[in-house]
Amino acid sequence: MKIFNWIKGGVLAFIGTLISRWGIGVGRFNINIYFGTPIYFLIACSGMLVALILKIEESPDERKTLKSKKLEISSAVLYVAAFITSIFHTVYYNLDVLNVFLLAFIGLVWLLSVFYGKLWNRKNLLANILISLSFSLGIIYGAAINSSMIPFSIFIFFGAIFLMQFSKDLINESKNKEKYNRAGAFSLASTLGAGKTHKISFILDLVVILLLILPFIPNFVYILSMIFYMIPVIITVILLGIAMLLTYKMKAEKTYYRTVKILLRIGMFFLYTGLILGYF
Amino acid sequence: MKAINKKHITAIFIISILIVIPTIIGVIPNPIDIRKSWKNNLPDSYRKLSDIINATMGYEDRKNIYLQDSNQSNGFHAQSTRVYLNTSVNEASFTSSLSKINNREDTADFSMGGLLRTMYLDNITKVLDPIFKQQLKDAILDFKYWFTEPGPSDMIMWTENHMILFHSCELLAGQLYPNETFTNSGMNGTQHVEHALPLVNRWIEWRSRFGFSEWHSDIYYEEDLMPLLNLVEFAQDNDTALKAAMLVDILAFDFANNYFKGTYATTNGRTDDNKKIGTSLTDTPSRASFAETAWILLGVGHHDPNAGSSMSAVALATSDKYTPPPILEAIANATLDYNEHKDRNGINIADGPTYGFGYESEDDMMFWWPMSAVFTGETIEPSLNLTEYYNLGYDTVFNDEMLIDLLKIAADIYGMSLSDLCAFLEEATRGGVLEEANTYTYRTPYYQLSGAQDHQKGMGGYQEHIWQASLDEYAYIFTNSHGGFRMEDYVGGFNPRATLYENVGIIQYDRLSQSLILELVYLILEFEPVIQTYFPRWAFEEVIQQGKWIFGSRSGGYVALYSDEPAYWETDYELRSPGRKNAFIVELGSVEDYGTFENFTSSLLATRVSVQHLAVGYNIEYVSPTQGLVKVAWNGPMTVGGVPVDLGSYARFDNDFCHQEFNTLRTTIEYLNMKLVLDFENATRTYTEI
Repeated sequence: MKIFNWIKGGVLAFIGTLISRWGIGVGRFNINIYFGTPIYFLIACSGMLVALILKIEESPDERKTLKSKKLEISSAVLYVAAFITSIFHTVYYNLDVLNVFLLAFIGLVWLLSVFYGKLWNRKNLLANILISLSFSLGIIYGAAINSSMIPFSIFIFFGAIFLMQFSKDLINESKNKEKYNRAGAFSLASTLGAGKTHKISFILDLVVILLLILPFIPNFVYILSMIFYMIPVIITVILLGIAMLLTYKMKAEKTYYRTVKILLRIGMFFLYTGLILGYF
Repeated sequence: MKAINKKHITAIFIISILIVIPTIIGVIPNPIDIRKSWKNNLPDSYRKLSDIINATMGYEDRKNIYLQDSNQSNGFHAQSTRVYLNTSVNEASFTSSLSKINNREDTADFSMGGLLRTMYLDNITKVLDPIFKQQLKDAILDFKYWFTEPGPSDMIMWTENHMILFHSCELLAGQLYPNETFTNSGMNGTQHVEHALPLVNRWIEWRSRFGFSEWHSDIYYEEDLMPLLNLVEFAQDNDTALKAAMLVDILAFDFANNYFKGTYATTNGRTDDNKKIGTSLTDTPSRASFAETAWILLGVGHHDPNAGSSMSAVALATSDKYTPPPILEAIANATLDYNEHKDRNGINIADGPTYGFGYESEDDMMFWWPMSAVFTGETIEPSLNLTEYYNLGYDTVFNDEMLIDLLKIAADIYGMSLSDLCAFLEEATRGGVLEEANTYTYRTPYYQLSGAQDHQKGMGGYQEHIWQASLDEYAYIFTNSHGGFRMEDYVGGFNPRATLYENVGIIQYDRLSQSLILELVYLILEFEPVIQTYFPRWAFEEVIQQGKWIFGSRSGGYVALYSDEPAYWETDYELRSPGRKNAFIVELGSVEDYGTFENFTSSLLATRVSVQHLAVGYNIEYVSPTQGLVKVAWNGPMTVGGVPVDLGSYARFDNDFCHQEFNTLRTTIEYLNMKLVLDFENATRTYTEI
């Protein structure tokens, strides 16, 4: 659990606001940046803590270090702080109410995950989904605070970022499969086997590539500077391609795990860069 | 997954608290509503600048007073007065102007206009020394009168005022030396007359049909008046001279409708900080450049004996052929206590084809360039072509060659044509264009509110001054969103949506989010993200700030300004609110309406104001103590008491004295038994008194 993951939520909210700013006044845009970024930072934190609760429940080692009850309270406090701020932000600045519904929906998912996820025997899978959702939803939230008319491109980028992170977590799980096995915890890798997990990761990366190159089609979605979007995204696609190749070859060997993870992480960095530059 | 410990949780809490709490506190208004107050004991001399309409002093008397003072001046233009009065000239006064003309520096045409007047007048009085006169003649013959002529120059020729200056100078120079060869062009004088006359008449026709795109300019009307008066006096084509006189009448009519308590207290298409900002009683804003002319014409404002070298005032005072029709001064007198005046100047670029203007030819550009329309999507390519064809120099057409380079680079980056890029960046490229302006002025004996209704909202400006509420010559207020490519500090910023009705105005500032590259340019140009309110405390008898309201009183007139965003005093004449978005409400009142200033402030503090943020701008509801419910948003109408307010498009003129439809060529001004008909189509100027 790294603070970088929490910050990513705020960054994606910023990107979502940036991408969907056309037709929005600079006054609202600035206010949305000031409010939206920290609000979603808190939401991402609370989501990560929910994911952590599930992981702790699954892992006896980590249960030793921290009581999940404290994490639940922390997550709830962060979420409530964000939610109240978001209501203030929405009411005071007369925003479309969609963003509050989105946060309410996220809160509901967090709540259900805490109370019912614990009872599920595939907590790790849920935790991975939550981790990916926690920050990737930021891009939708960032757009929702600008307007309830969310550009289609936002959903494409949300899909790409969510799947890319999920793929990375699958690789991570696969890498730590034995650790999970020793702890008696569920992981997709231990249930389906490393090979199938890699295939899933491979397919997810492929979908990500397709999503990222969809905007290359002229007039499919609005991108201000296609060349500034294309250059970093092509780098992302190349890195993803290499990661896919390595994933495909990996089978049971652990040699490439670290490399694949790093490639995906760098790829994500270039993707963010492309999104910012594409709409600069 | 790495283990998490309590330190991580504590860190999250601290970060959260650090982010959330200050954010919330920052936007919640301070519950403590402190009342601040400032009072001045203004000196008696302050009152001397009040409006002087002297019924006992007529036009000829004012003209003579000006001539006497001008005769004492050593200014360049005042030398025309000396020649006119048959007194010796100060040759040294010509030195810098001659140098400017000979070096073809920018604004040399201002000097050439004065020089030609001197030469024409000297043909009658023969004051100039023959050798010196030959020097002046050589300068006239060697001048570059239009960009189609060969030879280098740094002169800007195509803004509205420069254009008539150059055309009139060419015409008058050609008339003066019909058989001489002009050394720069190789043409003789007659050929220059043939070239210039249609251009002069074209310019006059555009002004008569569309008004002045440099609307109500307290700087550049001076540069229009001088060439027009030169044409009246010296043009051999009678129709041209007559039409020029008719345009002077129209400008005088403008002054009558917009002068208030000695000042041209109106919105301006082009002005500068110097004209608007005064920091104290010893550093007051400078007067309109044509102040002396307005005084001679109508008796509005006042005469400064030291202003004897005003180019248009000299031209007027030394003119035997132009006399303002008495109806204009009568209207200036009649409107001292009340006036509601609307007019329209200019057209929108997009409406060009409706009025017969395209976006391709040289003639098309000669219509658009005087509106400062060189960077727009429609005009950038033909403007570049014209610049390159005549080798005009990018700096003189586009201000700075670097801008063109930057645009070309940006067009490559964005994968757009230059036209598409300029259309995309219209906030900057169209913002500075002097498009259709529907101006509104409302006057009572105590105050005047004036503004350009709903003019290019959210666009970056150049030299515009969108609205102003005045209690007297110095006690006036206005707002400005800092910026503008002219780099003025208090005018020409991002345009608000100003909507005015009688004594109430609602002014919203916002603009659409832009390419961050453009934002970066704004940053480099040091556009500060603040909205300024000029509120010179030194000029008011009393100023009170309470809550979101600031009140001022002066000579029985009261002004109240509501700023939705918190505003702080940057100096004792400027309030600032951070950011680019703010909503202002202005209400004017007087001792007649409220009795005391205290009643005025308490009435306003008790009103209901609802300012609701929108994606762009606001939705505002304000219950005015005098007008009732006023509603307006960023788009759509302004309503007062449920009735929509006319925000434009206006007629060319619409007030108690004149209603002229836009794009027509006949102006009829009536008052009591007087009637002035200016018929530009048939070149007739008819004044009748029944």
